[in-house]
Amino acid sequence: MHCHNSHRFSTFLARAVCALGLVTISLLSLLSCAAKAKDELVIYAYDSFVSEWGTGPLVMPLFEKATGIKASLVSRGDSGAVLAALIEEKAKPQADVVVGIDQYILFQADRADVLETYLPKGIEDIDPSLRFDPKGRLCPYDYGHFAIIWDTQALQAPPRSLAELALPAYKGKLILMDPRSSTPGLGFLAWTLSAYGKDWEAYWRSLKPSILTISSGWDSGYGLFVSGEAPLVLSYATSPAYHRWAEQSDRYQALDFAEGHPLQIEGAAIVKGTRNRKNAERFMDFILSKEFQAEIPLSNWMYPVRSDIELPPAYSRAIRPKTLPLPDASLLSSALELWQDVASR
Amino acid sequence: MSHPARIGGYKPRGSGRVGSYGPALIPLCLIFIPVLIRLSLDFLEPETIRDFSAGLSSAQNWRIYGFSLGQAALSALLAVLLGFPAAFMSSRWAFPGKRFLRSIFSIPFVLPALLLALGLSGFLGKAGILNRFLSLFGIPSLNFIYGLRGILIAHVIFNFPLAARLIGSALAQAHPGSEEAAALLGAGKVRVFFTIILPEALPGILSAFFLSFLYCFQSFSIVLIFGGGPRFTTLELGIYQAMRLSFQAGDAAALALLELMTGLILAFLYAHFSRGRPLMASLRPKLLHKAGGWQKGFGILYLGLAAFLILGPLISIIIQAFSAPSLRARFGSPSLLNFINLFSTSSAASSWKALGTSILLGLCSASLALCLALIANAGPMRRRGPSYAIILSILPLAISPLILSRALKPVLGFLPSFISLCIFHAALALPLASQSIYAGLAKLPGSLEEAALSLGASPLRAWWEIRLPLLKQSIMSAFLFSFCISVGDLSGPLSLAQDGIQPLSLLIARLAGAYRFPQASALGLILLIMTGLAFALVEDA
Repeated sequence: MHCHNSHRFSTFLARAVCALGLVTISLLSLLSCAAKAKDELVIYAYDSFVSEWGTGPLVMPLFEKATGIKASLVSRGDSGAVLAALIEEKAKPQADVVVGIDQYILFQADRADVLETYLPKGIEDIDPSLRFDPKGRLCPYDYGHFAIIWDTQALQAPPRSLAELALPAYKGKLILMDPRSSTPGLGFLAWTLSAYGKDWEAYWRSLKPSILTISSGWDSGYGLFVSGEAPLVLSYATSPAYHRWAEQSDRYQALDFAEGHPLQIEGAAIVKGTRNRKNAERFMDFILSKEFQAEIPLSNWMYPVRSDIELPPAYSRAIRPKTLPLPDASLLSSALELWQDVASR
Repeated sequence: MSHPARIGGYKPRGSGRVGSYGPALIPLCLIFIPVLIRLSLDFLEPETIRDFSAGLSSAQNWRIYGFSLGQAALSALLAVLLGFPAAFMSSRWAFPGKRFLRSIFSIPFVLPALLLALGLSGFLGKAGILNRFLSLFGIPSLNFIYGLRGILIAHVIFNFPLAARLIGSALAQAHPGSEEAAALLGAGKVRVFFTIILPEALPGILSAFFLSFLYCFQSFSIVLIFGGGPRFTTLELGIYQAMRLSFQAGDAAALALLELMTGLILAFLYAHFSRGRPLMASLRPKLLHKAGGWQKGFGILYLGLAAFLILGPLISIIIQAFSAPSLRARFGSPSLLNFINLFSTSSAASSWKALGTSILLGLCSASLALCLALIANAGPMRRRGPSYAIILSILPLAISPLILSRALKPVLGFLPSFISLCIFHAALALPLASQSIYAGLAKLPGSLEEAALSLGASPLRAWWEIRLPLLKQSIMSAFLFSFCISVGDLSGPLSLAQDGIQPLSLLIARLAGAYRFPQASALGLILLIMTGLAFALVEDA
C-alpha cells in the first residue's frame, strides 16, 4: 500500500495541477486583452514555404533589410487552405500579400475575387508563357513540372509514357495522391485530362490496377515510396535534384513521359482590400528580385522565373520535359466532381 | 469494497438533482455554441442553402456516408472481438507475462496520421518487417494492408487496446461472488460465462464498440492511405474537399451536419454504456484464478498476437528513427545520425524549441481541460449522481477536430497562437477528462464531503480539502490523458498556428514535407516516448 509520504506528495501534485489550471485560465484572459500590432505587412503562404527548410526564412530577412519594412509570414496550411482563408476573411482581410496560388486554383481565386491587380517591376522580362494570370494579379515566382519518380533499385524497366504506366507490368507499383486534398494529385488529374481529353475516364479505368494506393497528401505518399512500398510515385521533376543535393544519390530518377508533362506555376498577389498597398507593392517587386529568385532552387525545389539565375549543380538531375497545355478550367472542375466515381469503378 | 448497486455492471439511474446538470452544461456550451454559430453563419448566404440541399441529395455523398458507417462498424466489431480476450484474461486469470500485456496495452497511438502510416507500412507493408521475415523462407511479398482489409487492420490495431481497457474496467467492477455462487450451485464454465460474465461485460463491450465506432467514423488519412484508392473515402475527406478545394460552404455544411448528427448518436451511446467507467482505468482485477494448462496456453498465444500487433508499428518507427538517411537500404545500419541532425546541427534550436513548446502547450492545455472538467463535475457529490450529466459532457466527442478547428477559428483567430492552441486542445480533451473525473467521483463515498459541509466548512473549502485530495488519481489520469491528446494533435497547429509557433507534431509534418522522412521518424519516436511515459504514470497512479 502507499506509504504516507507518497500519499502526501500525490495530494500535493493534484492540488498543484489544479492551481496551474487556474493560473493558465487567468493568464489566458489577461493575454487575450493585449492587442496585436497592426502596422506590419502580413503575408499568407502555404506551410512548406514558411517552414525552416522553405524559402520564407531565407528571404524575409533580406526583404526587411532592403526595405526596412516589418513583415510577418503566416502559414495557413496547404495552398488550398491559404485560398480558403482569403475567401473566409474577404469582408475583413487580414493579409496584404498571398504567396502560392497556382494555375490549378486560379479559377477559384478568380470566382471569389480576392486579389488586386499589380504589375511588379521586372515582370516584362519574365517569359510570357509563365505569366499565367491574364488579369495581371498573380505574379509568377517559380515553376516546375509534375513527374513520376522511379526507384532504380526496385524496378528494372520503367514506363516511358502515361500509356505504359497502365501496363500490367506495373501492377500495384504506383503511388498517387488524391486530387481532392493534394496539389500534385490535382496536377496528375490535369495531366490525364490534357493527354487524353474526353477519354480521361477510360484511361483512369485502365490505370487502376497499377495504383498501389492514393494518399491524402504528398508527404505520406512520398514517405511510402522512400520506404520501399512501391517503385513509382507521383512527385515533381525536381525531386531527384533534392536527393542528389542532400544525399549524394541518383537512386531516385524522374521519368520523362512521351505525352509531355503538366507544368505548375506558382504566383503571388496583393490581397484585395489591403491597407498596406504601398508596402505590399514593394514585396511584390522583391519577389522578382535576384536575391529572392536565387533562393528558390534549393529551398522551394522549383525553377526560378528569372532566366538569369544560375541553377545549382544538383539540378542536372532534374528533367525538363515537354510541357502539356493546361486543361480547360471547367473540364478540370467537372472532372474533380466525377473523379471519385471514375477512379473507384 | 463492492456495492450491491454495482452487481449489474452499471448503476441504475438515480434521482438526479437538476442543479447538477448546470455545471456539466458549461463545457458543453463552450464547445457546441461556436460550432452552432459557425454552422448557422454559413446558412446566411443563399448560395449555401442551395448547395446544402444539393449536398444532402447527392448520391455520392450518401455512398460516402454509407461507407464511413460500414467500415467503422466493422472495424469496431473486430476491435471488440480482439480486445475482449485481453480484458477477460487479465480480470480473471493469473498467467505469466500479464504485467507485460498490461503495459503494452498502455502504449497509446496518439501519433499524427503520417507517422501511423509510416509505422504500419514499415511493419505490414510490401517492404515491411513481416514481408522481410517471410522472404527469408522464400515466400514472395504479400499484400496485407492495401484495400479494405488494410483499413480494418489499421483501425483494429489502433483501437483494440482501447476496447480491452473499457471491457476490462467493466469486468473489474463486476461482483466476483455471483460467479462463484453459480459455480457452487453446479453451473458449468460455459454456462457461467454466458449467463454471468457476458452480461457483466456487456456495458463495457458496448461502450468500447461505440467509442471505436466513433473514432473510425472520423478517420480520414488512414482510410485513404490504406484503402488504396478513392473507393474508400470517409465523410471527413468530403468535408475537407468542400472546404479547401471546391469552396462550397453549403456542401461542407451538409456533410458536417451529417457527420455531427451521427457522431452525436455514437457519442451518446458510448456515454450511456460507459457511465462511471473511465477510459484510463487500469486493468486491475479483484479476484484471480491461477490459469490452468489450456488457459495458460491460450493466454500466451493471445499475448503473442497482441504484442505482435501493437509492437510491430512501434518497432518499425524505432528502426526508421535509427536508420541512417542513406538511400542504399531501407533498414540500414543502426545510426544516431537522425537524432544528431535534429539536435546538434543548425536545426537544434528549433528542435529543442518544438519539444519545449509541445510540453508547455500540453501542460497548459491539460490543466485547462482539467479545470473545466472539475467545474463540470462540481455538483454535489452523491453516490447516484445524475448519470445524464456525464453524457452531456461526453457529447462533444462527436465533433471532429476538422469541424472544431473551423468553428473555433473566428473565435480564437485574433488570440496569440499559443493561447488559441491551448484552448483548442483543451476542448479536444475535455470530454474524456470530464469522464475520468466523473468516474473517480462515482467511486467516492459522498458522506465525507457532506460531513465537512454540515460541520460548517464552506463549499470551496470542502472541495479543496476533501474532494480534490480524494480525486487525485482521477485528476492525474485526466491530466496526463489530456496532455497526450495535445502533444499528438496536428489539426490544431495546422489551422490555428499563425505567429511562428511550432510544436513537435507540426515540426514532424514539416520535416516530412521537406523530404526529411528519417528525421521525422526520429522526432516521432521522441513524441511517442513522451506520451508513453505519461501513460505509464497513469498506470502507476
